[in-house]
Order: sequence, then C-alpha cells, then structure tokens
Amino acid sequence: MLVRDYSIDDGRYINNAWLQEMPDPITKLTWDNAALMSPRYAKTLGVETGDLIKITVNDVVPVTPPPAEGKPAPPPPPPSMPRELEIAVLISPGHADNSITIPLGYGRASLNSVGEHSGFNGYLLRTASNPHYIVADGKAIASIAVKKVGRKYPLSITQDHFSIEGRGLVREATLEHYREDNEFVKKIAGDDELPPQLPSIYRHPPLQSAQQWGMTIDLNTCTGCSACVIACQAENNVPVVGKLEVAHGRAMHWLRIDRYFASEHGYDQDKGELPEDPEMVHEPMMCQHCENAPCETVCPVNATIHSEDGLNVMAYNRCVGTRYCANNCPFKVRRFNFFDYNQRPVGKKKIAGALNVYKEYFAPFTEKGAPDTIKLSKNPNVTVRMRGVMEKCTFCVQRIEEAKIAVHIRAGASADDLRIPRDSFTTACAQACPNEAIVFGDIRDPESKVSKMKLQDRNYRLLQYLNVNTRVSYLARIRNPNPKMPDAQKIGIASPNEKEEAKE
Amino acid sequence: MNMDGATTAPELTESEEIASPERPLARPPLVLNRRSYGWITERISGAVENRAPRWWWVAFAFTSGIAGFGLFCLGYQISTGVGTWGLNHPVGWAWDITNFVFWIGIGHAGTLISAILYLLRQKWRTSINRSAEAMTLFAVICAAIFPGVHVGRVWMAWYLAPLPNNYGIWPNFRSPLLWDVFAVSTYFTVSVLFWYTGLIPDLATLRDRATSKIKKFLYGIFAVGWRGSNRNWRHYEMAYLLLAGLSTPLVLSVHSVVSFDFATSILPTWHTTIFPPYFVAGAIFGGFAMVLTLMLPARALFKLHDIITLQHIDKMAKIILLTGSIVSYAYAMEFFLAWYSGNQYERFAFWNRVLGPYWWYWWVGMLFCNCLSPQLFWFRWCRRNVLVVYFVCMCVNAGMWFERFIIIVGGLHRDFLPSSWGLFIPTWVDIWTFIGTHGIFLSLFLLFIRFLPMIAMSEVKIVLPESDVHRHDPINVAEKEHA
Repeated sequence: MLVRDYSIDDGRYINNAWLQEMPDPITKLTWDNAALMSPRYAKTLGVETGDLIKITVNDVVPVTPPPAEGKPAPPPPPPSMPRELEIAVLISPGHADNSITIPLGYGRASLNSVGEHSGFNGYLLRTASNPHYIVADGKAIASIAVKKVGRKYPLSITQDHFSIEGRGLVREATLEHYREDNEFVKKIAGDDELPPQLPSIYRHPPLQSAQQWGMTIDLNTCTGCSACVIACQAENNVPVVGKLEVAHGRAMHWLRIDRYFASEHGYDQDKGELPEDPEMVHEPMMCQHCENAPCETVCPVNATIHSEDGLNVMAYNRCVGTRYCANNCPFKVRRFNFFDYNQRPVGKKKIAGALNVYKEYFAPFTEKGAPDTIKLSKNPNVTVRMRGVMEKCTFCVQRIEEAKIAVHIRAGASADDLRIPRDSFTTACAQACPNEAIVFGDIRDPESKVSKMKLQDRNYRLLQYLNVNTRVSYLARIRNPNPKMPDAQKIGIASPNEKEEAKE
Repeated sequence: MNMDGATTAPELTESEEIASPERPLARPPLVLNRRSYGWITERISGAVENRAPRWWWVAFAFTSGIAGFGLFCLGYQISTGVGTWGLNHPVGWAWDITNFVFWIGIGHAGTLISAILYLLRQKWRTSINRSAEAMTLFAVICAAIFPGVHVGRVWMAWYLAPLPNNYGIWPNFRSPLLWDVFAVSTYFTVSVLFWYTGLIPDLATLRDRATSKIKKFLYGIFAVGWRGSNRNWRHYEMAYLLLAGLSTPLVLSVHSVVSFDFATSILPTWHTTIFPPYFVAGAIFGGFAMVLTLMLPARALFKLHDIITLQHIDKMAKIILLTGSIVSYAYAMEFFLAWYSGNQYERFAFWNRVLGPYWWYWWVGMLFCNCLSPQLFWFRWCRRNVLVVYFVCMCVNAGMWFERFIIIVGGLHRDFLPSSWGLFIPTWVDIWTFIGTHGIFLSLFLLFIRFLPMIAMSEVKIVLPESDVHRHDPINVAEKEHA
C-alpha cells in the first residue's frame, strides 16, 4: 500500500527539517520512511525493525496480438522489467497482517539539502494503473516477492518503548464505566491513597501573583496529530538536531507526543513480545510546571527557579549544564543541547567511519553558523540557546510577558487592575491544536476556561504520589465503543483497572 | 630520639638485640627479620635515590601515554560538546559520574588508614599509610576531573563557587551537587595537609642524605627546617593528631555527601535513605582493594616483604571482607525495601536491575565481584595468598565501578514514563577518558614512588621494638617484640 507521508506529504516538504524531524504520530520515526508491517508478518518474513527487505513487483506481460495476415510480425514489446525497491522494515503493532505500507515522498536522489539521503523511494513501485495498492491480482501485476536482504539500515525512532507498563499515565474508560463511576480517574495509580502532606523543610516559592498559569490537555480530543510539536518548535526556536542525533536520543522537542500501545493481555517488550492488535493512545508531554519541582532543588547554580506566577523558569545564562535537573525530572521533559545545534548544519557526512566521527564533531575546526534562512526563521522574542545549556517548555513565557506589557501600557500610570484579560492569549501549542485539546490560562480565575476544565471529573495529574503538584493536568479519555463491534472489548483499556490489579 | 636513619648508625640497633623467650601468644612482629632503623632507611630511601629501574621507565612511558590520550579526549570533549560522550535524554549522567564516584570511593581508604586507624592505635597502618594517602590524593584528582568537565559549559563552572557578585546570585545551597563541591574540596585540602605533615620527617631524611644540590634544596624547602628535635617532634605529633581528628569525620562525610546526589533525588533506586552508610562502606571496600592493587606489585618490585608483611595483607583482607559484607547487606536491603514499599516504580526498577537490559552488570559486577568474591577472605589461606588477594582486589575494583554504573544509569534509563526509556551506549571518548584517568592515576603514583618515600620511614621505626622506651623492662619484654 502506498500512502502519502504524514509529515512530508507526497515529498513536497522533504527539505523541511522541522517536518523531517517531527516523529510520525504512530511509528515515532523521523527522517525516513520505512516499510510498515505487523509483528506477525515480520515474523513470517524473519525480519526485525531496521532490516532491509527487497520488494520485487513483476507486471503481467501483455499478450501480443497475433500478427495480421500478410504483414510482417511487429517487433515484440520490450520485456517488462520487474520493479524493485530496497527498503527498511519498521514493525508497527496494529498494522494489518500480510501487507506492507510504504509512505511516499522519500528517497529522492537529486537533493543537496535537508532531505538528502532520507528514506526510500516508494514511487519506484508505483504505476499509473496501481497508484495506491499493489496487489498481485493477475490483471496488471503477476507477482510480488518480498525478500530479506540481510543488511541493516539505521532508523531514528524517538520512542522505542510501546508499553505503558500499567502505570496509569494515560487514563481512559468506556462511557459505560464512566457513567457507573465518574470518579474513576481518582482511583488509578494510587491517587486515592496518597501519603499525607508532611511539613516541608524547604521554603517554597510564594506564588503571590494575581494570575497563576496552568494548563489542561484533553486526551479525549487529542489525536496525536503533532501540530503542537511543530508550533512549539517554531515559537520557541527549538533546534533541529538531525537524524544521527535523534538516533542518539537527543531530539530537542520541548513538547513531545508520547504514544503507547495498550493490549488486553499485556506484553513484555524486553522479551521481544509485541502486541498484535493493540489500542493506541497519545499523550502530549511537556514541562508540567510542578509547583514542587524536583528540578529546582537540585540545580547547583540556581539556573532553574520558580516565578511568582507559577512557572518553572530557566535562566539560560546561568545554566552550566550539569544535567542534574533533567535526571531528577520525573517526566523527562528537559532537553539538553549536547552540541551547538543552532550553530551546526544537520550532520550526516561521516569522515572516519570506523571511529564514528562525524564532520561536525570537531567543533574548533568546523565552520560554524547557520544559513540566513535558518536565522530568519527564529522568533526574535525567544533566546536562541547555545550548547551545554538545558532548555524546556516555558509555557510560552514570552507570550505571557507580551500580554503583561500590553496591559501595563494600556493602564499607564493609573493603578488599574493589572491582570491580563481572561483567556486573551494562549501558548503556541494550544493555539495550534485543531481540536482545542490544550487549554492554557489563569487557574486562579475561576471563570477562566482552564479553571473550568480542571473542575471536570475527568481531570487528573500525573505522578501525584511524588507530591510534585503539577500545573498541567490531563482529562481522561472516555470511549464509547459499539458493543456489537468485534473489538469493543479492546477499547478503553489503557489505564490499569481493578480487574488487572486483582489478577496480580 | 632521633629517628633519622641517616644520622643513626645502623649497627647500633643490631647490637642492642636481646634474646627473648618464645611466647606462644605473642603478637607477630610488624616488621619481619628484626630489621634495623638503618635497614629501613636504606631500603625506602633507596627506592628514591637509586637510578630508576628500567621497568619504571617502561611503566611510566606507558601510563603517561595513556594519560596523554585521556587529556586529548578531555580537550576534544570540552571543545566540541558533551555530546561526544554517549549521553542522551533519559541518561544525563553515565560514565562521567560513575567514574567520579568510583575514584572518590577509592580515595577513601587512604584517609581511613591514616586517620581512623591512627586514632584507634592500629600500629600496622604505618607500613601502608603513606602510599594509601598518596593514592587518595591521586584518586581525588582523577575524580575531580569528571564533575569539572561533565558540565555543558565548563568555562562557567565557577558559578558553583559561592563568590559574591553584583547580581546577588548565590549558588543553590539546597543542591547536593553543591554540597559535593564543598565536601570534595575540603576532603582534598585536608588530605593534602595530612599527607604533607606526615611526610616532613621523611623529607628531612632525604634532605640529609641528598647527594646533589638541587635535591638538597628541594627536599630542604619541603622539609621546612626539620631537625628532629624534641620540640619538633612534640609539635609534629600534636599537628598529626589534630589532622587525624579533622580527617576522621571527613572519611564518613565525603561519600555520604556524594550519596546525597542520589538519595535526595526522586528517581526509583536513587531515592533511598540507606545510601550514606552503604556508600561509605562501599568506598572503603573499593579503596582497600585499590590500596592492595597498588601495594602488592610495589612490595614485590622494591622487595618490601619485611615491611609490608602477610600480616598486613591479612588485616586489609579482613577489612575488605567486613565492608564487602556490609555492602552485600545493603544490596539485599534495597531489594527488600523495594518489595516492602509496595511501590510499583521501585519494584519495577529492581526487577529491571536484575533482568533488564543491564542484567549482566548486576550479576557479574554486583553479585559476583562485590558480594561473592570477598567471601574467600573467610579463609586464612586465601587472605595470605597474594595471588588470591590480588584476584579478589581486581574483582572488587571492577565490581565497584559496575555498582556505581548500575545505580546511576540503571536508575536513569528507565524511570517513571516508559515513553522516555532509553539506553546508554558509551562512545570511544567515554571509554578513553576513563582509561586516561587510570593513566593519570598510575603516572602520578609512579612519580610518587620515584620522588617521595613510599613508606613512612619515621612511623615504621616507631613500631619497631627498639622504639619502646620500656623495652628492657622484663614485664614488657614480650610486648615490645610485637606491638
């Protein structure tokens, strides 16, 4: 099956580094396309993710009409060449068995820019008669052969672990269950038996401002489309790191979409088990702006601190890059600039293969700087961070400040109410979300949209037992499967339920 | 009494020998073969004064070559970025902090031997304390490299110092990383002072024996006018005692503070209150193993069997057995508490330690090297067999590195959100930086045994029977033979 690629479409955006580095919502693959197939089918082919396969499509040889009487026979038609494509395999749980999906648009040969050497050209298999599906139907296509090549191809995938491990991070229920127990979210992951609040030995940030910022993310409406990821990247000057660095686990996205596969039976990914027919859930994940932030206490230089309006803020100039904050972040949302990603081209060219040394890695001897197009793409209101500095979601602090300044200008010397008008601005991710799943605003104002969202009974916060008091909360996903559908039983199973706990 | 062998005729001590009756319960002597003051001075000063043996040059060329390449790796890493190491997003610390804790741990044995055993009147320490202290200093130097260069912006690392500035910004005194800075720098300073104070009488010996003007001048400068007078000794003993008292709490505090880096964090397997004693025991465990690793070859190469006797090795093996057992108990407690807590994140983290991607680190490093191999020391013949002791010490050296790796990377690579799980794969820069610090450590140690007396001559002489003023008292005849 040939489909348009999720990020670069039919190939028209292949030179757009933001889109190249945006993880595919389902596979979390960046910088490449791949032959997607189900775990079962991969087993029959004897391949794993990253193995190259060769797909050969043999067309039906058109039957030459017998030559007319008295005329010389026409020259025989040119022999039809089998169409071939070598492509890397990516096992995608939930894919239909005995079929392969190939996103188009990649593998273009004559590029000298961002899209160079990315992916495999699915167009090589495509003909006008078979634009979308290549099926050995005997009419146009005689046979299709899929063979393991025996070589590997490196794929850069941002999330390797599919299983949610029964941790109650994404909470969902069927409508039926929700009607029975509309407080169900409070009973997951030990949220109903939290330890008592003990007196703290630290002085906590005062949080005195009239306005306190917070956010909700409605998992019911989030589709994992990743528009917020790109919006955040554009707004906050998040650098592109390149395929190799993504493979090293150093993607810089401040906002990422976690994707989990939930299966009725549970599976142990360490043993190579993959869910066959899973349910997929998405969860946008960014700095949770904990009121009791673990990152803040461990920074030795006071580079990450709390603002009075409840933001966990970074002083980039002060950061020396111990990475302790990122280690102590339970959500692993802090991003460290390992190289000067804003100063170096997206790296691909090897100079010494055996040593794994790449051209851009000899910083003192390498040309620095970005092309003007990249420089002009930066948001002038946001600092461009250098290497060795930790960075993370700021709740778009530049937008908050802009709104504050506007209010102050309007108020002039008068001592009017200096609060920013209710819901008059929002963060880049919330602005970009087509489903308005992300809501940002003042949680001290009971009439604000975000306060109302937080009052819903679906509202829950992650890792409450750590007593981090996150400012971001999630609204549980409620599904309404048709009970007559064969997979109705598989819907709404991402959160650990009492049944499973009883089994354990 | 003048303890400088140079000015005391060696024959005098030989002539003072008296016959002692065989006493079955007598403690074995600390220096074998009734070696005299003169012999001790000759043997130990000789290592410094004679021409360097060929093996020394070969070894030094080798270790300094490795050290040089390690420094190149550091330069590359600093100039290019922390990304030259294999760190990534879940794993923000790996070999860097593992190596830091490993080296700091090794640095514990020296001060323990010189300070705590001194206060406890363990006289056997005198044969090994000098080189153990030197080893401490070199290990702390190696350790200090890592927190120094692992930060993203090395040139801004001075922000960790509490310097008054016009922004009014202080370091964050709540951060254990800052406590580390204070703890390690205090420890290093006190260890240097302690080591140097102990060296003064021996430096004077070398000064008095020096044959060239430069040597005489340099040893003279550092001997700060030591004359061996009664007054000198009085001040020296008092200073030494005070420094021993100062160092003693540091032995316990430094690694406790290092363990706070983890204990005050919230990650499963890090967030645990047993870390301070567990880390201190582990540090002494690893430190003694490293002392033996260095002393056994030095003993053989410089023929010091009479000063570093099997009795010394036996005693150190017992300390390794004790601390190794404390460490094993701590490992077992961690598992028990993870189960007892009922916390699914804790439980998972410990299952993951045993069965996860780094399973063999635990089975080989922690279980075999740290828990099982020291159990050989229950047997006397194992404690007194140099090859067995060396084997166990090498196991412990490796095992303690693995232990820190498991704690650090094991805790980081799979924490709360499965979406962020990852792995750590070291790069060649990681590996060679670590090997390079071994080069630095061994080069410094080789320089030390070349230019300074590797055994505290004056202190060894104090434990000889001849030094006992009551040695002719019939009641004390037996005691003076051994104590």
